[in-house]
Amino acid sequence: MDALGLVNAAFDLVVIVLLPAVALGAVMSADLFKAIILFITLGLLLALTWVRLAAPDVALAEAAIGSGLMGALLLSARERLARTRPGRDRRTSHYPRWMTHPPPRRSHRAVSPWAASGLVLIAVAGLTAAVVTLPHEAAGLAPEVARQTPQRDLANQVTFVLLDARGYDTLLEIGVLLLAVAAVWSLGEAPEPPQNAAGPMLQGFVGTVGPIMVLVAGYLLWAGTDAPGGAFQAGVMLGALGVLLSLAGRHPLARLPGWALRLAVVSGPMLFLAVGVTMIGLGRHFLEYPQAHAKALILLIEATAMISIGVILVSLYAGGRPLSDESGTRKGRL
Amino acid sequence: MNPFLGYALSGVLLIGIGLYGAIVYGHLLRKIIALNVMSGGIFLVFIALARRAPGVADPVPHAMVITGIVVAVCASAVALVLSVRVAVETGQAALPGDHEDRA
Amino acid sequence: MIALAVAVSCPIWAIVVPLVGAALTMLWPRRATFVGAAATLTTLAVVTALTARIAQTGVQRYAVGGWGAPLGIDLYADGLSAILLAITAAVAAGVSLYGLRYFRAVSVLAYFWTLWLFVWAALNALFLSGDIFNLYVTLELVGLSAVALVALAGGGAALTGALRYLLVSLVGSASYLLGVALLYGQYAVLDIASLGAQVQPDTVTWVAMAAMFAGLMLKTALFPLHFWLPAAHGAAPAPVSAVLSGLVVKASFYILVRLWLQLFPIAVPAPGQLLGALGAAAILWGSIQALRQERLKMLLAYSTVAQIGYLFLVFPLADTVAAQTAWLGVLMFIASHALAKSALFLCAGNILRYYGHDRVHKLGGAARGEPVTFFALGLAGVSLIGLPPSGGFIAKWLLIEAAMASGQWWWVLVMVTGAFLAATYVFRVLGDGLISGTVSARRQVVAPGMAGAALLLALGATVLGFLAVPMDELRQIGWPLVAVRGGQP
Repeated sequence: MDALGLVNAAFDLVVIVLLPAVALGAVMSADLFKAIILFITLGLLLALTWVRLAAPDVALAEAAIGSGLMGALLLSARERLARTRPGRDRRTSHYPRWMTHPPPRRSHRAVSPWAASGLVLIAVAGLTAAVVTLPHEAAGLAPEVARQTPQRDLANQVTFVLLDARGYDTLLEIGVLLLAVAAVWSLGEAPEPPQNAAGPMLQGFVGTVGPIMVLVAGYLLWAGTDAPGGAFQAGVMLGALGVLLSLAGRHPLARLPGWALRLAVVSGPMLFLAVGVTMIGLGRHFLEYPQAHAKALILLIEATAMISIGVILVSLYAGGRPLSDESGTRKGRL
Repeated sequence: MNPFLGYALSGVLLIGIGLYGAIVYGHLLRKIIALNVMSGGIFLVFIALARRAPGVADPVPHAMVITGIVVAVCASAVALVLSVRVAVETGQAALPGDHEDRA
Repeated sequence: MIALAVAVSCPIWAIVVPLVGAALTMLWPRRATFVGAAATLTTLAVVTALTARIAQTGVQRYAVGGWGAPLGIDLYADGLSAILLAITAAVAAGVSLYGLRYFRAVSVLAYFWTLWLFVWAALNALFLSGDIFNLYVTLELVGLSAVALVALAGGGAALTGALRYLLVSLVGSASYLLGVALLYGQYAVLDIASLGAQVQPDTVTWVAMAAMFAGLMLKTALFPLHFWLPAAHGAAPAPVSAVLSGLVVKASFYILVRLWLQLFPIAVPAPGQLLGALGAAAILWGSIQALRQERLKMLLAYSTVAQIGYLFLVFPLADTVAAQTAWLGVLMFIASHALAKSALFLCAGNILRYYGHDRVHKLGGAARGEPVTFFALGLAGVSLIGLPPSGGFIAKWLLIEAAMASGQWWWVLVMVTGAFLAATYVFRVLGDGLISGTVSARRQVVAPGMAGAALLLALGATVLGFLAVPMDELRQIGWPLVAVRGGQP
């Protein structure tokens, strides 16, 4: 083994040991804040791992979503929970009495740690047995993908799988995003953001970084057909910018009229569906792009998806439907 | 040497740790963190196995894991919003019968 | 004209139409009822066309994106898919009709339509999927939309029930995804049919199967993994409870059946017997708990725990001479329980509205006050117990016959006991309604559409008793691996 190989092997070993150690801390740390910080660290470690395992697209997604956005969501939920004062804050449900019930009196007993440990040991033993017996070399579908991508003029094979070969999965996945927004909005209005959040530092930082982030998002989208990147990574970049703006007290969606917000959320999935259905109209299968226009169609789908994803992620972070929403959810409208 | 096996076994440990936390801890944020650790472990197994392809990595699991990451964050976002509503309604950040453990 | 019929009966429409409907209700919430009703009718039409096409021309395979397996995702629609699609459409018709009136006074109407169309699209996508990873995505869609629907009721019980449901559901689908990762690692395909041709009885395959089965059993709420179900199904709004108990738990059971039929490498008796034993325990435990409930919706939720048990009795019978009878029986059971239980939950919603409560021992006078609802309650109850003439009767008859024919008489004992217990809790509800007690003062009018929807579903459960033969014909279309499993003596 040469020197570089040795360094790599040592690096791998360190990461392999660190991952479960940090995970243990994230799950078991006595202090919840510390647990969240360790969880964010775990996400960054995983992103590093994806790089080591030759998965740069996953690394980008993990760093932005799995670590960054999840971290922001967890921290804001922790802060909201801390602000919740039972009694003072208890909202009477706005639903008729006959639709609601008090929480059940008798309920479940927590599982004992011993039983849980037993279950976990069985699961880990079985999985270890399975993983070690897998063949140590397996091509998977890599040769098949390599055979098909040249036809499509898409050098990024992951984008090819996500948007073309398995585009249907991705359509449903954007459906999951849309569904998550519907679910969050159906749960009620967004809580009041904390008043004292934005210092002048953050304000200035966002002012400088914001335009750069928009540029990066555009680049990730454009380059994503040939280099690591794509609609999700770009959309998350926009979403992250929105979250930063929210933190700085400049709520990016608050000024949008309700219909514009809803249009932005829905347009990505709707355009994806429309492209799919148009293909049926042309006598092809659903989402079966014609050879000559495949790349252009994919870019079009990705561009609208990016905007929807960005807006959806900011909406998820807001934690409820916007106060400006005049969607008929005010009392008396429906 | 191909490091896939080490990473895959590390992923298995992550799954175990996450599962344990999700079962044992009562505080809702802890449960959600544990679930995400668990899915991180599953993604790790997935990507590690994709590294066994000679030369390049298999891009199909990469695409599936990106899908998985997005689905996981969506579900977590809904779970977090629900947790806050539950705390507002019931006064504790745990499900009935569970304890908040340590904050 | 023929070209149009072919185009309309393409499987993808059953997914695209409700999905578009869901997106449009989000875009246009003030017209949600109109959009929702239009989407419902269109979806019913395309599902009918698809089912008819499967019945006439056999198995449909549709390569989404034109790639085809192994690289692309194929939709796969055989008789089994057709039956589940049809059951879903029938329940959906009733629930949509009910939803038109039920949520009228409430500000959550638009979200009901969005989320409900999402569930429907996801269920159709799940029943049509031929790809194990795509199944994972559909499973998550079903779970997440179902959770959000539960939370629509608001209040502590619904929110805690919904959250527990979500967390459990995430563990279940994570476990399923782990199995997918292992299977892909071993065989490098995701298409179920291709996988089925390759599977070997090795360690990786068994561990993957165990992970997938465990996750799906959790999502199906098989005893003792049912702990989350009563709170979620009992606290949800009535039409949502109907969807959850009638359809959603069957979705994960459907995947179990697919895996069992198409991916199990060899026939081994132990897993089947274990699943059967858990099913038997579910029947007894769920029924006894149902008897002890004070509130009608909780009674019905525990009854679902019990009825899920019957579904799992098919596994010990599936590798015997009586396999075909057992499979028909369990499909009949799925259909009749879907219709009867959704009818019962809609009735419970009507009773809640009429009385302002659903306490079982205070329902005196319901027979006179709400005759249509009460009649629907009776009809659906008959099917739930398994009395003739009803789908529930045929279903239990077939399962008992299969158990006798394969010499496993102990399952018969369980089923008969379960029917006796079901009769006890159903008559506990009906009996109190028949006796004209004091009717409480505060009563609300139940819209005719709401009573009618419950009655339609209950009638469906009854009529189903006469449809065993066509259902069996549909079932045999592309019945998985008849030559290898499930048919041989």
